[in-house]
Amino acid sequence: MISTTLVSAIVVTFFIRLGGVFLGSSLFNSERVSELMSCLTYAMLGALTTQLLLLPSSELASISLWVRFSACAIGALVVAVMRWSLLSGLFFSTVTFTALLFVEF
Amino acid sequence: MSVPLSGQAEIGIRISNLNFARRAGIVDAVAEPAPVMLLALLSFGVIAKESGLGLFETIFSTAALWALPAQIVHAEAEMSGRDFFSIAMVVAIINLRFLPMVSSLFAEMKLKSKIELRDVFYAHLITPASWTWCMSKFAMLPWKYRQIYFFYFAFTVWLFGIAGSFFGYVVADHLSGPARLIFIVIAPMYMLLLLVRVGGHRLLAVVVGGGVGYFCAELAGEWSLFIAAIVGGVSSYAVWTTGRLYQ
Repeated sequence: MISTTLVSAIVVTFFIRLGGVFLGSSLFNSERVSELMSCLTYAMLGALTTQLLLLPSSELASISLWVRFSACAIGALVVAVMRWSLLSGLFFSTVTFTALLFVEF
Repeated sequence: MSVPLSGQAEIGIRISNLNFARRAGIVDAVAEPAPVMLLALLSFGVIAKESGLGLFETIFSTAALWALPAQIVHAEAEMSGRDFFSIAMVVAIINLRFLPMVSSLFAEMKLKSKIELRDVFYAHLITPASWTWCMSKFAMLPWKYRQIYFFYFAFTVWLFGIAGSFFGYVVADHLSGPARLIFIVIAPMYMLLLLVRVGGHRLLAVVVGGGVGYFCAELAGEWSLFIAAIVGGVSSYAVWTTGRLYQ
């Protein structure tokens, strides 16, 4: 059985994506507007990711900020500074998070 | 003596027909983002079971909504008994990010401006992870293979996500607290790593957007995402425009 709340969430999301399809088609061959949309999206994803990791509403909020921040910093260091692969970055950040989790508990 | 090829040229040669583009999409997805999404959606399966959703509803939520933050908000709201109008409002605000995401990715991969029915399904497959991956990959892909690459890539990630929510739901009772926390942190962590890898003015958008999003969250709530998008996006666009002027 599917609840009406789920259906409403799906319908709303569908129309937002459909709006993106129409907007994307109108941006066809318009490099400047397309680049502006990319910049807006990168900034929005930066904000979303920061909020999910540093200001979470999930049970992640029960973990100290320094634990989450340290794991993020290690991962970012591995990928952005040392130029290792994404999986290496994810591995090191997850290991750091797990180790600090046990230190905290 | 052979001349060494640049990375871009190598990829251009490797993906020289549709079959290669299809295979590259699947291989790239299975190599990295798809297993990560599987792990991330495991946590959603666990949350969904705790919220009292059924197995079918959990899988349907992943397949039809395909937006992890909104799925979690829906599952938690279901547990707290919020009405469908308020849930729709919150989901709309969270998912408004798909508007610039879908439009900018479509502008990068469509060969003509005419809208086709399959475009709606393509738009459904877009997630922040697949968007970030494809935006950086498209720069190295010949234009005519982008759409087919995207479809096979994003469809594979979607299938792994559905499998993840199924397994999460099934193993929910056997996962301890710390293990659940690790699964929850994987998806946003992966997103962060994808974002710090982008260079130039786009990295500026990520950094400024992240900073503004963090400091505005208390004051502006859900709208902080849009404030961050405008401040970070416009400043990054200004840098890009200025850079072009001096070229």
